[in-house]
Amino acid sequence: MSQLSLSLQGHLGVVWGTFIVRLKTISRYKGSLSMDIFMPIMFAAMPILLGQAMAGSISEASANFQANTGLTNASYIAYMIIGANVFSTVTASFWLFGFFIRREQILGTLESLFMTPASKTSILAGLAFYVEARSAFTFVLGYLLGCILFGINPLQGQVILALLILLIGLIPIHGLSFLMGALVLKVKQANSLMNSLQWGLGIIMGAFIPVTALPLFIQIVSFIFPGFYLNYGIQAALTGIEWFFGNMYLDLTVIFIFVLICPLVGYWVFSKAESRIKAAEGVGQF
Amino acid sequence: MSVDQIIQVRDLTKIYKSKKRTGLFRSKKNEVHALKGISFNVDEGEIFGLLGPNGAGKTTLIKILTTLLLPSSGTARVNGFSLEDENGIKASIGAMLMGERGLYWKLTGRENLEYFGALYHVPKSIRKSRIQSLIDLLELEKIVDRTVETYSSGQKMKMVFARALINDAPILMLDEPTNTLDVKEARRLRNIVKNQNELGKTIIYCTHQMYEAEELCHRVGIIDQGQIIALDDPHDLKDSLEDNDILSVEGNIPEIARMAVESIPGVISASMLTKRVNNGSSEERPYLNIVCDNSRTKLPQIISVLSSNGTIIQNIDKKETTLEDVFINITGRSLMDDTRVESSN
Repeated sequence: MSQLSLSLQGHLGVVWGTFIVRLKTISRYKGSLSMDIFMPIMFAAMPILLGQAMAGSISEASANFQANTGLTNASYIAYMIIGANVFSTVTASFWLFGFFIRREQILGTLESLFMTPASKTSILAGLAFYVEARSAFTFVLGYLLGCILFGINPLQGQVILALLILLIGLIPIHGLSFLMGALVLKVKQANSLMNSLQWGLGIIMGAFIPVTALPLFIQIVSFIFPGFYLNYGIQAALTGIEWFFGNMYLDLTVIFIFVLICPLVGYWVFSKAESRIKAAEGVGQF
Repeated sequence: MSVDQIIQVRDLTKIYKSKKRTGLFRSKKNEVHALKGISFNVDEGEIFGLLGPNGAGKTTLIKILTTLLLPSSGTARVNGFSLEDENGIKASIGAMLMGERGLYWKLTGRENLEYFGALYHVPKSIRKSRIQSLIDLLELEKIVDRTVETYSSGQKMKMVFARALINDAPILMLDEPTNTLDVKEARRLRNIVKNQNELGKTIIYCTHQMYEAEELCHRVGIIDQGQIIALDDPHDLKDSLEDNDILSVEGNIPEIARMAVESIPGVISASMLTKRVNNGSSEERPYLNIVCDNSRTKLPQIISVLSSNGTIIQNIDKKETTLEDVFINITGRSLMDDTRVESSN
């Protein structure tokens, strides 16, 4: 009989193994990584070009944007490019565990994974590291490329701080992705649900328009969604708009509170859903 | 608990709740009783066969024992761990379920084994050498560094088997492990299963191929419609039928002829069954399976009754008793039949 050590080293091995497996898999789908870089640029191009067409010029569009949103220091183009990139990384992270569960169900590997003593947290941590690395890579390249294409300075604002907010702000999103995992286990037609919901996410995180310009009930939903503070923080760091609570440290504190709460809530909900599914037809069915 | 009994199963039931479609938008609640109060023990170091037709409940039972499913009622202990102690059980078993599925197709075989080694917390210091020994054992050298998507079905099955051995667990649970393997590879895999057992592993071997159960298993539980209907040493199970002879009649046999044969004194049963044509294809041929007390004296009367009732006889064989005959004797059906467990509304 083997001596199986359920030690910290073992758990770290699962985290690292999962991270490497994802990297190797994506390296065999090269087009997918390029799409991650170009998609946000295409998302940003639509409102930028539409705004320009409606206003007559970029400067007119920018003035309209500032007047209608109250963001007096905002660079209209930078706001859209950043919003599109954050939207892209947040949706990828938010569906991370849900997509993972569904993909593994399709491959038939989910039951193989669930038969191992590896903890779901270790597997998610490995997935999360992979998404953080991929997000940082695609965010930087997507942002740089977008700025160059639309003729704005990519090095304006505090780039390092923005990157730090991105990496820390994605942690609660990864935690919430457990909820999506639970949803995928429960809902058979999860893909169409995910596709519909992701545009709702874009709205409540203020990716393309500040939520302060939206109806009150949407603002309330936004304020309890960590993706909103992630987007706002990066916007504030890069474009110079005022921090949401007027102070960088207060904004960061809110993000840290989400870092502590969301993974616990997400994991608890997922565990409950997993138990219910095991009592019903099993995790491999969809 | 006896130390020798590495698996103990008591009154295990599993009810699947589903919806039965009765129209475009209408459905009725439906219950499928997949397991109906199964109890058995597996001794440490034995190969325990679960033999039954498709849909009998074998996979459901294995999924419960591997903690993938929760039972509706009943208890089980695996290697001393109750079903609630998932990690204890997971660390105690290597399992092969779902046939060739369960591998990452974009990874090579070696990368799959490395990853599953990590998931089973196999220390890195011994992982590489264990993977190499599995590659040697299963002769995977030529394919192990190719991505799984390029494998044939048989190669994938071998790789899944290697994955089941990666954690060198004391218990192996194998669900139809020779499906999709050719005859030679299936025989090789059965030999490896025997060797693993000789090395001290306890093995639960699910199959619907009676010859596999006869060849490998120390004890066999015959499972049908969610119940274990017989459980013993394969030889003892066959001995229970030794007093009777079994005849196989092939040809064009009307139902009236079968009924007439069944009414002959000394004929215990006469059932129309199917068997696979022995030419490597999936073609099946019907035959009349007759269990009688003395075929030598009964045969002329049986032929006469069949002929007078419109039967065109092509072939008559006296069969060696097999586990399938035990199954037929109890259920009146063949192991080849797909017998989904009954449902109730």
